[in-house]
Amino acid sequence: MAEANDPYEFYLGQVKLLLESAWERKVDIKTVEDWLAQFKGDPDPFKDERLQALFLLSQFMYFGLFEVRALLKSLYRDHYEYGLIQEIRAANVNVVDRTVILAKLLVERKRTRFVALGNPSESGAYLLYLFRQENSLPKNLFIAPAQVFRSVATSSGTEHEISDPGIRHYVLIDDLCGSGTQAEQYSVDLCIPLKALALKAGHDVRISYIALFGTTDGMSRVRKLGRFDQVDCVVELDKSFQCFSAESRYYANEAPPISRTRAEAMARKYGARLCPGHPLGYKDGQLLLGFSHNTPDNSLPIFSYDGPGGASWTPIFKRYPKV
Amino acid sequence: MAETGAVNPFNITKANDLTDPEVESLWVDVRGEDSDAALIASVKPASPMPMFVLGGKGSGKTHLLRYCSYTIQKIRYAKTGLGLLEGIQRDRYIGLYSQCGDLNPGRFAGKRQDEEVWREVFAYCVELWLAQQALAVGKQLVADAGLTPQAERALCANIRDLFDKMPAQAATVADCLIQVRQLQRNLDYLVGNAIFSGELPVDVQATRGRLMFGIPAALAKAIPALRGVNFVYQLDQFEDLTLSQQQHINTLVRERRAPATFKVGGRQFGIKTHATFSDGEVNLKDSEYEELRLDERLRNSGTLYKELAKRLAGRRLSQASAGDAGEDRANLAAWFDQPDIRWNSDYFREISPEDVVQERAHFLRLIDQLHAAMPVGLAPQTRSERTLRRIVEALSVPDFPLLEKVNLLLFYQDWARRRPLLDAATRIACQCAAFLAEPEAKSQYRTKLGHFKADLMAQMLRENREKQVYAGVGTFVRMSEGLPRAFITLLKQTYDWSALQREQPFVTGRISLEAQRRGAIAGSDWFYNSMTKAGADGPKILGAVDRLGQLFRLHRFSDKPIESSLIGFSVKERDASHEARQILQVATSRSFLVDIFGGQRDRNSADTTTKLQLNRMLAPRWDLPTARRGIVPLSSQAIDAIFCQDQGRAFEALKREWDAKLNAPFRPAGKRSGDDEAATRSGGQPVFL
Amino acid sequence: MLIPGVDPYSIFRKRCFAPDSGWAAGEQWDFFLSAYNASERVRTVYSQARADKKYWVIHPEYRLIGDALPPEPKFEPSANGEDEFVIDLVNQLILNGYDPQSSSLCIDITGMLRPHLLFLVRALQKQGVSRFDALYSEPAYYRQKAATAFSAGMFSGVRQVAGYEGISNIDTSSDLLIIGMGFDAQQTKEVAEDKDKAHKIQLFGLPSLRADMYQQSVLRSREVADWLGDPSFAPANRAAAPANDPFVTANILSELVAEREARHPPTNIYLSPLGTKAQALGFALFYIGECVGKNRSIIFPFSTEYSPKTTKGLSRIWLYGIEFPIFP
Repeated sequence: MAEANDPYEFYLGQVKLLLESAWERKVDIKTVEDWLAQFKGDPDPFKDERLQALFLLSQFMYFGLFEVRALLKSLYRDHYEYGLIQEIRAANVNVVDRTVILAKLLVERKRTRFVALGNPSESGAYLLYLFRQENSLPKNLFIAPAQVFRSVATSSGTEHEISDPGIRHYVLIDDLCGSGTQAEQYSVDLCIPLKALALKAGHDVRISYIALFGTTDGMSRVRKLGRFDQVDCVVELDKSFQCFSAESRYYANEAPPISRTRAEAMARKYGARLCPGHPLGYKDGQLLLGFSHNTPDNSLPIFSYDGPGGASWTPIFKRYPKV
Repeated sequence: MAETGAVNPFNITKANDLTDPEVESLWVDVRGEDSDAALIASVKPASPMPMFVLGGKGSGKTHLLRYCSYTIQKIRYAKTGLGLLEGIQRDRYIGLYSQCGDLNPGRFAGKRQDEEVWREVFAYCVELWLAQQALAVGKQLVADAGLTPQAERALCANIRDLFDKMPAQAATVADCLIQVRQLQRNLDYLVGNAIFSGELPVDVQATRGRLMFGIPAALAKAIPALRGVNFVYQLDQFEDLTLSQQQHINTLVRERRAPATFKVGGRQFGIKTHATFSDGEVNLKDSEYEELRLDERLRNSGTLYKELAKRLAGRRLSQASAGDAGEDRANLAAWFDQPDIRWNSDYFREISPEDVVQERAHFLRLIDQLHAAMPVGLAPQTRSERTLRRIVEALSVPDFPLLEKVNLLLFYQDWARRRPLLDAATRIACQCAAFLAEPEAKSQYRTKLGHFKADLMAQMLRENREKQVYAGVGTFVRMSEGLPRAFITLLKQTYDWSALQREQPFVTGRISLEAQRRGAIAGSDWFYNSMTKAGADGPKILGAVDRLGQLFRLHRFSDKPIESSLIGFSVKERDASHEARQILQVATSRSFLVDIFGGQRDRNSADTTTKLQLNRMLAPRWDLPTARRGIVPLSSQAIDAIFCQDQGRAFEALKREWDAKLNAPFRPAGKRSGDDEAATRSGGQPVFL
Repeated sequence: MLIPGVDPYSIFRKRCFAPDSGWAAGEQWDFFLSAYNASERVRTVYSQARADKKYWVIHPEYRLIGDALPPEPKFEPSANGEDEFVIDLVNQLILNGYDPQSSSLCIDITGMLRPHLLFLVRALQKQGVSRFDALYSEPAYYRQKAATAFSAGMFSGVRQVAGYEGISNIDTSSDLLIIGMGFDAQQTKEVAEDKDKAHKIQLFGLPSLRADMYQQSVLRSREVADWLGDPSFAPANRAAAPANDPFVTANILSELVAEREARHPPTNIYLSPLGTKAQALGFALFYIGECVGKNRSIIFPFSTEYSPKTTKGLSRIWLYGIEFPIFP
C-alpha cells in the first residue's frame, strides 16, 4: 500500500476509512485538513508537525453511538446480571432450569437501583438513559444520587435516612474513571453515609461502581478506598494508552518519521496554549479517547478544545466542558 | 454530523449485492456490430450449445448470467406485460442460475472415504440439486400453463419413471420437488455424519443425468408452449469445484440431452480441466462447448467497452437522482476536473513556477549531473562552467517549461550517444524555436512532444514534489481494463473522497483532482488486494508484479526513457525459464498481466513472442501511465530476474543496469568511470540485459 | 428451551484470574491439553496448571520442528484436516486413560487452530462428555502488524468445518453469513467472497480484549467493505459481543438468528468465526445448541500454513465451564 511511499497519504486514508465507519462521519476531510493546518507543516517529514498530528488522529479511539450502546449493554449483562446468575446457581444446587433462575433474578433486580453520577444535565444522565433503553429496564430502577437519602424531621432537627430500605444494591455508573478523583468524591458523598445508615438499620447494602472506561491507575485507586463492594470497568485503559508514556502502545513499533518525542513536544506546545496547566489532558491524562456525546478532558486538548474564551482553535472531536 | 444525506450512487459494486429487481433495472447493454444488445448476444442465451463464460473479477459475468436467469426473466416479462410462458416462448430459453459454491463442494472429501465413493456422492448430489432447480421452475410453469390435475399427475408419473428407485407417486410437481428435496436432505445428513459413523451408506436413487435432463424433457412434453425452449443450467463459480468435480460437470456437458444445456461461469484461472469421465474423452472448444472470454472481449472491443462503461455510470446516476439517463451520460465527464495539458497552458508554469530557469527542478538536476560528469570526462565537449551555462540557456524556454522537458529529453538522448553536448543543445534550441514558430507543423519535435507529454508531465510533478494526476472519466475507463466492476469501484472511491472533501459531487461541485487521484489509488489497492484462493502462487505473482512495476517506474522517471508510456513488455516464449513462464501464465490468468493483442497465444510454438502489459488498474501503485504506447523487449535474464521468486540479487542488478543506461551520465554497465572507449560501444539502440 | 429474559448460554460458568494470583491452586484436572504456539502466555499457563497428565498438542500447520518443539509430553496427530487430527487426538487421549464419562479435562484453546478447536468441541460432545473446562489467556500486548496482502497462511479454500455441515438449501435467495470479525482482512475477504450472494452480518468483538482493538478490527473490515457488501457501515449489518466471552457470543448469535428467522427466514445460514478463540468457542456452542440438523453450517478459510501470533506477556486467564447437553 501507499505506506512506504507516503506516510501522510497513508494515514489520511486510514482516517478517511474511520470517518466513514466507526467515526460516524463526525467530521469530514475538509475539517481534518483545517485542523491539520493549525500545526506547522514542513516538506521534510521529519520536521512536519502535521504528520505527527495526523498519526495521532489515526490512532484516536472514538466510540460512537453504536459502540457506546454495545458497551452499556455489556455493562449490564456482563458486570451486573452475569454475577447475579452465578450467585443464584451457586445458592441453588447449580440449578439449570432457566425459569427458576429468571424468577430469582427478577427478585434481586427489584431491589437494585442504578444511579447516574453527576448532575442530571451531565453526560451521566444521558448515559443512563441509553443504558435503560439498551437493556429494556423499567424506569423505577433508576434514581438520581440525591434520591438515595431523604431528610426526616426528628425531635432533634432533621436527619438523613435511606429513602428506600428495601434496596439492597446500588449500582453507580460512570463513563470514564480517569484519575479516580471523581469516584473518590462520590464515595464520600454516597458510600460512607449509606453504609453507615444501613448498618444502623441492621441490613446489608451493596454498592457497585462500574465505569464504561477506566484507567488501571484510576480503578486501582478507587479499589484501594475500600468503600465500594464492586469496582469494575467495561474497557480498561492501562498505562500503554497514555500516548506519550514510555510504554505507549502507539509508538511501540515506531516507524520514522513518526516519533513519540516530536509528537509530545508538539502536543505540549499547542496544548499549553489551549489548556494551560493541563497541556496533555487533565492530570496529564494523555488519552486518545472520545465518545459520541463528548470528549473527556483527560484526552489531549488539541483534539477537543473548542473555546470559549482564550485561544481560537478548530477541534476534531469537540468537547463540551462542564463549565 | 458534518455532512450526511447524499448516498454514493456507485455504492453497490457487485452483482450479488443487487436484489433481483435491481439486477434487472441496472442492466445496461450496448450496440454491437450485429445486434442492439451486444452483451446478451455474446452469451447466446437461447443456444443449445454449452458455453463457458469466463471473466475476471468484476467482468460482469455474474450480472450477465443472472440477467439471463429465470427470476429476472420473470421480472422482465412482467414489465413488458408478457405472460410467463409467452415470454419464455419468445426468448426460447429458461435460465436456471446457481453457484457451485451453494453445493458446499468442499464437504465431499476426506472423512475416511474413498475417492470413488465421493465421486458417486457428488454426482448424486448434483443430480438432486439440478433436479430441484428444474422442478422449482416447473412448478410455476405448470401453474401458468393451467394444466389439469390429470395432466399434472401424468407429468409426475413421467418424472417418477426417471428414478431407478421410484418414490411414491406424487400428484403435483410441488410434491415431486418436496420428495427430491427430502432425498437431498438425507444425503446431506449422511455426508455430515460420515465422520462420526465412519460410513457413508448413500442410496443412489437416480442415475447420472436422468433427472436433470429428463425433467425438462417431461415438462416440454406436458406443456406445448415449451417446445423448442432450452433449459439452461447456469453454473457459476466453477473455480469452487475440485478437479474431479469439474470433470464430472464436464461429463454432464458432454452427455447433455435436449432440451437441457449448460452455461458454466468462472474465472479464467478457475478452469482446472476439460477432461471428462466419459472414456477419458476431453471436451474441446468449439466442439463440445463454446467459450466467451468476457473481459478480454470487452477490453479488446475499443469503443464498445467505453460506451458500456459510460452507460453504466449514467444509469447509476440517473437511478440515484431520478433524472434522465441520457442527459447524465452526456455530462458525466464534465463533473470531473481535469488539468489543461496543452503544451502551452499555464498548468505547467504552475507546476514549475520559478522565474529563474536555472532554479527549476529539472535544470537543477541537469546542472548537478553535469557538475558530476565534467571532472571525470563523461560530459563530452563540456569542460567549463561557461559551457554549462550556455547549454542551460540553449535548452531554456522560460514560458513553457514542458518544452524545456522535451529539450532535455532530446539532450539526454544525445548525451547517451556521446554527442558533443553544446552542439546538441544548440541544435535542439533550433528545433524548439522552429516548433514555436509553427506549432501545428509536422515535425520530429512535435511528434516527440506528443508521445512523451504524459511521461514528462509526470516527471515534472514528481520533481516538484507534486502528486501524480489520475483524472478524467476516460482515464478511469482505460484503467478498468474491460472490468465494469473495476470502473464502478473507481467511481465509488472517487465519490467517497470527493464527498468527504466537501465537493458535493454530482450536485453542485466538480470532483477535484485530489479526490480522483485518491479514488484511483483506492481502486488500485482494491484490485491489488483482490487475489483470492491463489495458494502459493499468490505471493509469487505479487512479487513479480511489484518488480515489474518498480522497473517501469524507474524507466518512466529516468532522464532518457526509451519508450513512451511504457507499461508493457514482450518476451520470446523459448527464452523464458519454466518457472518464469509459469508465473507469467498464472499472473495473466488472474488479470494482473494482460495480453496486449488479445486472442490466444499458441502455446505450442516455441517461437511465439508474447506481448503483455501490467493491468492498468495497478498503474497508480507505481505512478505509471494509464495509456500504453511502447513496449520493451525483455531478455531471458531480465524475465527470470523479474518473475522468478529467488532472484533478488539478479533483480537488483537489473535495476542498476537500467538505472545506468537511462540516467545521466549514461555510464555503461560494469564499466568504471573514465573508460570512454568502452562507453562508446553502447551507442545506438540500447540493449536491455 | 430459550426463555426470554434469561440469555440461554449465560448459565455457564466463567471465571477470570490474574496470572500471578495463584489461580492454579484452586483448580485441578485429570487431563490438561494445550495447543503449543511458542507464545509466552501459553507456556506460562502450561507450567502453572495442575493436572495428573499434561500434554501439548502440536499443529503441523505451525511448522514447528526440532528444537522449536517443547520437551514435555505431546500429541502430534496426523495432518489430514481437522477431522482426522481431532479423532486421532481424542483416541490418543483415551489410550492414555481419559474416560469421557468421568475424567476431568481442561483444554487451553489459546493456541489452537479454529477449525480444530471447533471439531474438538463437537467430537467431545459426540463422545458423551458431560463437562470440560476451556482455558483462554489474554496477552498483555499484541504486536500490531501492518496490513499485509498475504498472511503466512496460503489460502487453500473456504469450506465447511467437519461436524458443522448441516443441510444445504438449494434456494439461496436469502442466505445469511455471520462473520466473527478479527484482524485478518484476507480471511474475511475469502469467506465473504465464497458466499458472495449471502447477506453478511459482521459480529465484532466489542468490548475488545484491549481498548484499541475494536477500532482496529473495524479499520481492517473497511479494507474489504466491498466484499462484505457494506459500503456504508450500516448499523443493521453489525453486531457486538465481548471478545473474551464465548457464552455471550453464543447468546448474541442466538438472538441474531432468532430475529432473522422471525422476520424473514434465511434460506441458508453460514457462520464463520474469524475473531478470538473464545469467540470461536461461542460459535461452536451456539451451533451445537441450536443448529444441528438444520440449514446452518460453519465455514472457514483454510490455509496450509499459519504463523503463530506475535504476542507478548500474559494479562488474564479465563476458565470457561462447558456442560453438555447445552439445553437439558
